[in-house]
Amino acid sequence: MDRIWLGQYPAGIAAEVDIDEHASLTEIFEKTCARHRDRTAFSNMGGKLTFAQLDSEARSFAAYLQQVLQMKKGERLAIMMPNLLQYPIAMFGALRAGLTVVNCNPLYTARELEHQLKDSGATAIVVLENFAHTLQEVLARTPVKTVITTQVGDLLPALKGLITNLVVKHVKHMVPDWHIEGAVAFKAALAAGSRHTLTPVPQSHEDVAFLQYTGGTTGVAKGATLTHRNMVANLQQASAWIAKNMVEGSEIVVIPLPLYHILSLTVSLIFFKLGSHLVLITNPRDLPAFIHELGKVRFTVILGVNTLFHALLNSPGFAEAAGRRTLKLAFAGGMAVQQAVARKWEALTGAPLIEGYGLTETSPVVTGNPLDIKEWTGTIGLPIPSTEVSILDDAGKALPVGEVGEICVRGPQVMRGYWNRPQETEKAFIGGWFRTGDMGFMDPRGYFKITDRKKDMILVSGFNVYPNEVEDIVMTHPGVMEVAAIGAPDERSGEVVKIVVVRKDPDLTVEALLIHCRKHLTGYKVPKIVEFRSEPLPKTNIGKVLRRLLREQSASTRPAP
Amino acid sequence: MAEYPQQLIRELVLRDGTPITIRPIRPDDADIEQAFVRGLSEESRYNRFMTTIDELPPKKLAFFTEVDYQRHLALIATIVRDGQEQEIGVARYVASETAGECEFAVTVADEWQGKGLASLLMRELMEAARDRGFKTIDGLVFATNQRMLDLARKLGFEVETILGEGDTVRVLRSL
Repeated sequence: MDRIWLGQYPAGIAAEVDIDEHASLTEIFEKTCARHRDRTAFSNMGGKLTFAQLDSEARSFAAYLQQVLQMKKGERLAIMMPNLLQYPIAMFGALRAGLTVVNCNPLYTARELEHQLKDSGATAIVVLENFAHTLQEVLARTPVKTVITTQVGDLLPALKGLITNLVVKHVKHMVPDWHIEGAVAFKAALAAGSRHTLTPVPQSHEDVAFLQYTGGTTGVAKGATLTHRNMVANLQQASAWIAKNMVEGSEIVVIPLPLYHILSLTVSLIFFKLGSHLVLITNPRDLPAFIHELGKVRFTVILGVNTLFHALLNSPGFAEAAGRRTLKLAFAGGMAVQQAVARKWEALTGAPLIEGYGLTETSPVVTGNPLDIKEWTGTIGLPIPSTEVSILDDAGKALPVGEVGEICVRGPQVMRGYWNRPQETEKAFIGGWFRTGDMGFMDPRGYFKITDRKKDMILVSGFNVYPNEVEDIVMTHPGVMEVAAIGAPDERSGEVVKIVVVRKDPDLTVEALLIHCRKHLTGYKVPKIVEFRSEPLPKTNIGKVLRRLLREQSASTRPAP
Repeated sequence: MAEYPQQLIRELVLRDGTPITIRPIRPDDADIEQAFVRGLSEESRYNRFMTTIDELPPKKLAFFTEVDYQRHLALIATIVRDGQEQEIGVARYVASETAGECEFAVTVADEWQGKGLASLLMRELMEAARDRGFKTIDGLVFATNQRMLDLARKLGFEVETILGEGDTVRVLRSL
């Protein structure tokens, strides 16, 4: 196909990258650690890990998994925690032991966690104590044999770590009671592993690095099978895109998005490979604390979603942190960037907001704006090296420039398929192209723009929510006759979940229904707006719910605070 | 009570050799119709009703089985299992407000998909609609429902996008 976007590439960026330069993520990890030994790789909450320390701890953890737990190549290890220093140790340790990593949202409800652990077949998990009570509820019904627990302060300097753990548990009461027979402490696992020798595990492009879970139309989360090839490819592609503007070994990159989300995971790996210092932010919702962290480092790069940038711009104290003008680059992904946010950001920081696009299924980066743009383009940019993007109709035929159709992707970053779901995998491709479910067009220069969504999906601050999953849970409440979940526009999150409910029980309250929802749905999936109706949901003559009408009606009414 | 259209009863054989009956629905089919809906996969039900339901509420069940065979017609496909008649598919049209237009829906039980049943049902339904004076037939389909879109195209339907509605399309054809 004619890749007209190549004409727009900044000077020095090649059309193709060499995927075969690295056999695996583990190889990249080992080479990077050797190259930047004494530099800081990760910092968080006053603690830090140099590349050499990370190398050593990851090796210990890998040895623990391999020699003590006797885990075999290809077995799955789940990780369930927010951004902490333990995360890269657990992740790189698992990869080094030849395992597949299953990233779990620590805020999952029992129901969601159980599904993911069963579906992935994870046999071990590393979980932050704060969430061990959820794991406890479902453990017996999952294949998990070993539970490794960690506390927030485990890797912070000794006294600080001790105090942090005490405060979290006994002052802030952030650790609900839990009791799991035979659970191993993370630090004990590292110590045990350090007394063993890791047998190097040969790894190749075809081995699976991550099972990255994402929702689906029928509410069942599916694991995108991301191989070492997928991940190495995306790192090579993204590195080529940013290499001219970044300085190896000296960038300071702020990572406020959770590592269990593919955008944060891959962007972190990209900058890790570049020998950068990654500043992990554990709880970006605590804006004052977040901005305080920003004030402490002369950060050169920051990753975010529109919601986050919007929040920072509206927070006192951020102007000061940003005003030092050390920022080279701000990357935005996960959801559409709003023009007002982009303009305000540029004015305040002096750096353009570089918007990119991709999905869990594509590792994720597919397109990005060139780094030499002077201002927001309002597009998702150009396909990155070694990537093809085509606009297809639903029969799989390519549409001409300017015409709207489904954005489809071909490239080494595209997943092999969904874990153990051959039918779902088949549906995701057409003629060898991966179907993103997003509608858009290509302009005559080769820039792509998203116009709409084909998937019946709600995007809340960059997280996917499928209406069916929410409706399913709401329908299990005995007081509900029928329900439809739709996306309602929201200035902060882009969209929020709204449910329109017809009650069976006229005394059912919004609060009771939300309590029910929170029990089975993680935060971003819980409806923010509940509308009760006394007439049935609007339907066509043949009984199909008119979702568009519900959205229109919802757009014209002000959402409840 | 509308006269039952005996002439629409067909005894047919599927591609895989299974003998089936296609016949208009009757009020006393409420049980097998409800069992059919309950037996659908979540995805099939979601595609059909465009919302999450487990079964038909009483009023809807009555509406679906008490048809007048003119402005509202449903043809069900049945097999006999252990001496019992079992519904495995249904195609239905309901007259629209505009004269000569009707809206359709077709659903086949998941285990019976891929055997040409939906095509059979639709051809019978379209012929019956034509005989009853309808000039066009249309329906809403989720844009991601590839199987339905492929079927629609095969049957000669056009696929239309709906302005401002990325996730739903309209399929229509003249009769």
